[in-house]
Amino acid sequence: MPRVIISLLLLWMAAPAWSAMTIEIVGGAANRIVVAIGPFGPVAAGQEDVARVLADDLSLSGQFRIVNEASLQVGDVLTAGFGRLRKNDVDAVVVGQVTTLPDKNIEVRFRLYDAVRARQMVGFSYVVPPRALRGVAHRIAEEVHLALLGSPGAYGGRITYVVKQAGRYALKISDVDGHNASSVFESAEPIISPAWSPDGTQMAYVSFEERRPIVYVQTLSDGKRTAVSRFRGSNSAPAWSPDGKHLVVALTRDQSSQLYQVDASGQGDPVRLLRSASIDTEPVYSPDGRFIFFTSDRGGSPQIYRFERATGETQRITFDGSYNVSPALSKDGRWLAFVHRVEGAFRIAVMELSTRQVQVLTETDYDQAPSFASNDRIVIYATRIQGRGVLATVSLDGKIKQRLTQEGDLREPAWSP
Amino acid sequence: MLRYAVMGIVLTMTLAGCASKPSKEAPIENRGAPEMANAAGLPPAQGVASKGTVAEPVKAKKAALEAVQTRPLRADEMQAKPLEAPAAPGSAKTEPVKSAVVAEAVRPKARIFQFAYDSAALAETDHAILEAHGAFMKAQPKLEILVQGHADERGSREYNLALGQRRAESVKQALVLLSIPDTRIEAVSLGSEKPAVEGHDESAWKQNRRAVLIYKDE
Repeated sequence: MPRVIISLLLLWMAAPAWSAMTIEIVGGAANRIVVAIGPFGPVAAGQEDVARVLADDLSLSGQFRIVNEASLQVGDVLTAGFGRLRKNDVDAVVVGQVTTLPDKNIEVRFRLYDAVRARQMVGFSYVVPPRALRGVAHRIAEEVHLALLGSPGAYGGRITYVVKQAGRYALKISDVDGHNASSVFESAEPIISPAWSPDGTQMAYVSFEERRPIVYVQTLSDGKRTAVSRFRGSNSAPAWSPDGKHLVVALTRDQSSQLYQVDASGQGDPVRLLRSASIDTEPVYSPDGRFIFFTSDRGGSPQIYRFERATGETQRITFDGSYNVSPALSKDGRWLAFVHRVEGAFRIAVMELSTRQVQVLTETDYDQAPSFASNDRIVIYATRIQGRGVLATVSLDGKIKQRLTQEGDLREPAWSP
Repeated sequence: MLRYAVMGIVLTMTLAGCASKPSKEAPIENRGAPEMANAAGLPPAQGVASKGTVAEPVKAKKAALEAVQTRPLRADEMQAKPLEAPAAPGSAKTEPVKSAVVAEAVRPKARIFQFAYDSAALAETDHAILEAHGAFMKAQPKLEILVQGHADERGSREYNLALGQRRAESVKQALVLLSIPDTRIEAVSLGSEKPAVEGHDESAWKQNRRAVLIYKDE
């Protein structure tokens, strides 16, 4: 597979909101749709360049090849000239315009044209305050993606991850392109297993600040944090219920790691869900709340199991290989992503739950912590490249891969709901 | 390199500190350490200073190796406090009757128990070490210990946390079987979050799959 790297480092260095994160594509779709993007007009100092953010988004998806088409006019309404664009293999054209309104708000309009059929596919006008321009660019990327591919993209979401740098740990949230990063919590001790609440307003995570793992829930708007599980021994692996009212956690208060339900408010006693003499950990709810998937070594090696809440029945899900851990479910409940050891390498695999077919998606050796993107078509995970912790994404067909790096070790990613 | 240099300094200090009391227990095997000692340019004389007579490089190296092998047991105790000398007889804090016992009891130096991949089974050689700790704890009925379990970096952080707990519990249960009350032993896990060695190869992983016994008064 040809290794295509599009490094946007230089472009970003000129950007007003400099982000330390670098994203590169390490594999793209075999047939990329060629999209010509016209100029959106002059960019005021300190203002986001909507056309460039859009071009970056679409390039980094691995699904599109972007050409800048200087012959197009700002805010063009295309009625002719498609033949010339087709000669340059252009499949689709985006034209747009950014206008500052008298009240200082900004209007962004765009139109997407099908160059083959010579007609408009979609067009919108947005009026936003200047600080929301990046968001508008992501929104336009979503519209273009949906119109051209018939499936949603994942441009506007947020990700959380942990950075370890200079012996300190920071739990961060940023846009999926690494911009607008902010810290949720920082500590000299490890932070692991961040989990977004279903409504995206709170984050559960495990902090070692008291020299043993304790589960906290933090409200993102005001930073208020509560220890929701601080029992004897280890408290870890928080998983939200779909209604956001409770969490399932792994506790070692009864020696071996076992699954319990705790209230999201931190009140009341934990309720034990399962009883085994083995390690049970890494719970995750199915989106309909019917099942809890989890990792257990009850069969002699760590494998993924599924526990049905209503009946209490437990069923083994993974059988290939002797190490299958870290279950993650797609939002539509169709796919299970997990870490699968194959010949000593730890790789991301997905299983289509209806058929139980497994496909290994990655070729790296130290993959961890898979999480589905909001569109269910991409998995983000942590891995190590040349001794350094990085984040990476892979499409469910395994073909499109991105790598997200910044200074320090990155780990424990989770995509926002 | 910096890491090796720092370890070298710790190592040098450690060896200097315990040169007069070479450990008799079989130390946990540690193939990584000798290379590190060399990389750090450790003078072998440090390791043999107390023996005084060793001149040949071969012997000196052997003695240094023996000393080095005990080193991780100490450097890995992150608190890195020097071992306290047993309380002197008649010291103000200690009751006279017990002080004799205290003076006789030897606080075992071996504190690290290594494990095979995805295993929490203690090695055959660990049992003698645990018996020594058991005897010491019986002689010091007020002493409490903390057992920290760890895993190597590979695979799932959460599964590793549970695995580290199981390793810590293995050590705890072995002591309980030696009639030490379980209320005196706290078992916790740090999973793969606190490696003893920051490498990404089998030599590092081997050293990181461990349980560490810490006396709470240290």
